[in-house]
Amino acid sequence: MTLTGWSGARWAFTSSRIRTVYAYRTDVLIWLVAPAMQIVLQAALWRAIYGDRSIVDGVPLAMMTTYVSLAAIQHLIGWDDTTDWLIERVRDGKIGTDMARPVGLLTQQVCGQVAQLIVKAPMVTLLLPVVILASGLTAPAPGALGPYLLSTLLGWMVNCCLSLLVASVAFWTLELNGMEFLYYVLSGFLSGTLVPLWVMPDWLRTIVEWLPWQSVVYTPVAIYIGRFEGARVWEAIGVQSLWLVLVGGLTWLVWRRAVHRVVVQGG
Amino acid sequence: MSVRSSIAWQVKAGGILFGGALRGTAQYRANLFLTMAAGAMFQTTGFLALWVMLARFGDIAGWTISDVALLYGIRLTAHGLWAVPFNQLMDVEHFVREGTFDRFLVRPVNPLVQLMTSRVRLNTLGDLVAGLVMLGVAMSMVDVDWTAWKIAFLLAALFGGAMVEGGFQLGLSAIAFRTLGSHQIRFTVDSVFNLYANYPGTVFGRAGQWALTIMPVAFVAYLPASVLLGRSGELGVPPVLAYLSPLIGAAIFAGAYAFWRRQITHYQGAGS
Repeated sequence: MTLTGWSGARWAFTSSRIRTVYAYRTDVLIWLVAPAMQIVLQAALWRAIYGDRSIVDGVPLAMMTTYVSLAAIQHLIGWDDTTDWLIERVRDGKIGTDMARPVGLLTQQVCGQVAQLIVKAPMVTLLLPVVILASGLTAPAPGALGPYLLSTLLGWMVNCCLSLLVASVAFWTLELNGMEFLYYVLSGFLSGTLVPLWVMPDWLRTIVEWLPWQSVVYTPVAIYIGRFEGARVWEAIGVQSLWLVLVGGLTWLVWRRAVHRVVVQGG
Repeated sequence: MSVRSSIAWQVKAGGILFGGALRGTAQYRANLFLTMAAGAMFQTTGFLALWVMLARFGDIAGWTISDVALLYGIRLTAHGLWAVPFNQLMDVEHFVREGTFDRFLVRPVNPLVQLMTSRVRLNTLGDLVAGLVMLGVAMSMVDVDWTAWKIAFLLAALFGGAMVEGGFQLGLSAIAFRTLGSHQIRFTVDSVFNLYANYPGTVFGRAGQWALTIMPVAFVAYLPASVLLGRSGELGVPPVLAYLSPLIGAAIFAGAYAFWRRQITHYQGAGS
């Protein structure tokens, strides 16, 4: 296959998935209501918890509310419906058709995630006015914008791999009700979206630091607010890259095995 | 007909139908515990986050972790109390769209009872168990003298809170008879309760407290918990509202049921 054929097939697949996601744009918009309410809630909670204190652990209140609001948005961008989609395809046997396509199954999933990002990222920016109003979003720390964007991209990629790993469970169990939402809630905690890592007690922070989820949300947002400085920024981005290689490799291995598990029912 | 429309008959029929649905669900034992655990975990993550915050900061708007745990336990138990029997409301639009609601109308049992017992989902039982555990632990931790009247008020408040949330979900699900869809609005309202009913209203200032009282999210847990903790004096709304919270739940539920009865006549069957 020529290079143009290679990328052409992938783009054709991605754009068809974009149209699928876009068809449900009203659902996506309504789906933004709950996160908007959550951002307002989080800002109010932190304002109440800070009370009369202006700085805690070297973090002023405005920095904290910026952190939790931005973290909520980053976490939301990472939410995708790959797991539910895959479970349905495996359960009703349509996965057989998917596997017969000239583009590999794993590649199709990655294209699907890119498609979701392309549709959802602009929609999620609709939350920005809410964020600015509720939390008084501050500008990024000096010189942090570039590393923040790079770190966000890496975090999104790690998240894609983690979602694919969770989704691959469907090949073995066939039935996984509500698993996706539960995973989203748990990852909200482990990624530092609900509570930033520096607030956690030492034992909990140590556990969370050794897990991959903190690279998804905590690292980019901590870079944005200037919690990491100088060499620490690049160190954090290095850790993210390491996780990407590890989780990416694991995903590739698991999916290669998983496709051999597929039993197409009624087909 | 008079026998069949009696409440005793409805309860008996409901029990038989529920037993059947429960036996159906109990066939999948591994899935049963997994979904229960998932339900409990989903509901307690928010508390876990709050616990981490309070471990570092001590209190939120003057509420300690045990005070907040009592509030959270009341909310989660009330949520479980409505969600266990009524979680089938989420399927109403499915029955309406497929036209399978027909069969509920031709049988001699209240359609709502049949809907409630059409399937048992045990993830909500996880919510109830987690709520009772949290409530029990919080009751032993808070500085409250549990007199008979306080226990009675707590029980009334739990059922009142269940009826506030359940009433909203029942009323909103009835919209499906006309519009065929009510999922998004029910999901949004559920999010409001899940997000805002779990925290002391003082967090949101005086205006926020009024908004939550009118919505009426505050009646589920914040107002009754304030009464039990002897904090009704610091409320941003008249304390009498807090004492009345169990009755408000009953009123909302009665209104919602009347609305449901009215909307059901708009059901048009399949293919419409």
